[in-house]
Amino acid sequence: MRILGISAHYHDSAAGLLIDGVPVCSVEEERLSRRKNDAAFPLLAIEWCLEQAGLEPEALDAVVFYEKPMLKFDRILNMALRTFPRSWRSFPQAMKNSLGEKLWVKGIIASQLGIAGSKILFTEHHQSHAAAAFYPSPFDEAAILTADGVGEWATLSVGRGSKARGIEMLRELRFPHSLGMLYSTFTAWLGFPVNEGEYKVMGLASYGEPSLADEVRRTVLPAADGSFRLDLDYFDFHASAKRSYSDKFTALFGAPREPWDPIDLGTAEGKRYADVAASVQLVLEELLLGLAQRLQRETALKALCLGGGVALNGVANALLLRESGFGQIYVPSAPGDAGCALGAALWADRIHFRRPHVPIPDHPYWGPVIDGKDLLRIAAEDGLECETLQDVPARVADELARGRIVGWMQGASELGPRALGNRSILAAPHDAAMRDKLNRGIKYREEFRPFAPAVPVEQARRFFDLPEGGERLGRFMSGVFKVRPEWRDKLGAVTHVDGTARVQTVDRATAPLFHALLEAYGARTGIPVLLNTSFNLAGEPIVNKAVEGYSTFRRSGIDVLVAGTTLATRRKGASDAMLPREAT
Amino acid sequence: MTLKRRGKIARTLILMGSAGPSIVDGARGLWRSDAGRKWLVPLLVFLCVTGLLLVVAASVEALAPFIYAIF
Repeated sequence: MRILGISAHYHDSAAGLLIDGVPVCSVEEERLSRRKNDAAFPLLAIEWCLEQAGLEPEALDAVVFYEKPMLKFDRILNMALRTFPRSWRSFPQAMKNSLGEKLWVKGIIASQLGIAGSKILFTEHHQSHAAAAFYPSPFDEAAILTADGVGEWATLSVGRGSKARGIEMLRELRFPHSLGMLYSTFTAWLGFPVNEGEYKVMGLASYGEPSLADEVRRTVLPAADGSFRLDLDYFDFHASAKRSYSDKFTALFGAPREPWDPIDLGTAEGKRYADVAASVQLVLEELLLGLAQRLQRETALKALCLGGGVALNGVANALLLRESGFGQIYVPSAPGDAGCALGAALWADRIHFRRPHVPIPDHPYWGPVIDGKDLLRIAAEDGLECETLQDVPARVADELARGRIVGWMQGASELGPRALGNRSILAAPHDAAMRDKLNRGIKYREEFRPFAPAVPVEQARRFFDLPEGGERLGRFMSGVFKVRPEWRDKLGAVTHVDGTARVQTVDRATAPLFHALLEAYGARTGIPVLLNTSFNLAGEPIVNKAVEGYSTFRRSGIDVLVAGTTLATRRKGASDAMLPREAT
Repeated sequence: MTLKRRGKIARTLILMGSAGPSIVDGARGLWRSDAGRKWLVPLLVFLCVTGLLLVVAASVEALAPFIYAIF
């Protein structure tokens, strides 16, 4: 059975293809259209998926959309009426936004793919999240917790999954009471773009003290059933298209930061922003922990699968692993809406068509495959000579040990927002100066944002304080853990101000070449750890093809570009001094 | 492989063909909801039809003057 899953029209649209119950490929539209967070109907992604499988649209048995547009419209209409007259200004905007393409998804799919309407199915948004989180997990049975801004009505749902019996959703929290919207409101107040800047809030939180946690708790009211409600007097996102927070909110937390104002952590103002970020992070962790502990007691299960955009919060994920009672936590590589394309297809396959579960390969590499020969050709056209390597890990490790910054493109691209070793910028992790060099010369981003380390899974505990289950959570960079104190100085570029790091534990079976590179680097420096950040410049999607990697390489301070077995070196090289051997 | 590109009119006709069942689904969902929201059904249908007309006006430019004249 061939099922195409589609997510679109909110942010990070994507397509994914399932054949006989197993994912074949999946890609975000932004990687192909080159528009960051592209929310358009993912025609390019659909074409690419069908091409990968050699299928014509008519050969599909079903096309599944990841949410129910009419139910979503019902919510928008209800909220507009419920909040009248506050919503009278936003009502025309909401209608204009909803009544166009977004409502007529069935017709759009039928007209673009030329398939019968009877083949088009819809799942609920949080069902897609739940399926994306549970079915690819290594657990036969697990509790499921999904949380994001909002789907149709649900903003948070809990359930339990069994590979034999399917998924049972137990309860849901409904809009406007939403963990994602709570965090996004503070994201907006801190001057960061909503749906994009949440990870900046998490990074900033490490610089502050949660001294305003009681004020944040005032905006969230505990409910008798263990969940919570937002005190809507502090929020405006449910009634306004322009502002997330109300005047009462600004009276409590002060004037919002303007997006163009720099955050200077040396000033009282900068410290206040960091304290607010730390406070909302703490309250989010408390709420999630309470929900997860209750779910663990209720289900008595040992494993938890997390889905939805909130599952990108690695600090909260690590806390749940330590304290929720679940011994194992799985977060897919794309817990957000992009992952819902495959999630919707999986839900249709296992639940709607009642087909038995078949194991799913445990890796995040579902996107287009790189061809090193393309780099050879592009560089030649540009007058740059390339080398074809016999031993890629050894040669690249030499370059990294010399302090060079490497653009690394191998195999199929990752699904999700993290570069997990196939579309990465790699560098030596030892010196904090490397972090600043990357921030200022390549990534062009705020100084308070940390970089992640990658380490072979079998050596992770040597450098990082991982709880039981930490290796698994770290496979897709989903947890933030303490760097062991004795290594913090030697891992200065990847150790955050609070002594933590968002570790990627690299498994030989999942990513053999990246694992070999880490080992080769360890053989040269004594520390098999590399700084790993996504291969893109600020405001651009992660590179997909060799041409995009080459363009990024030419426009930034990357010293060496590797695609497959092809290596290109910047004409004016960096320092050739080998790094001192750090440890034995 | 490239998806077959259909003309605007063909796409709009397909879209309109599927709009009826979508509206019926939405109205049925509201009617069956237990939150006393049955009274919203006429408003939902009106807005959906309006939206559909606007999509048609944007897609088939020749019809736009006639559709906009309604408003």
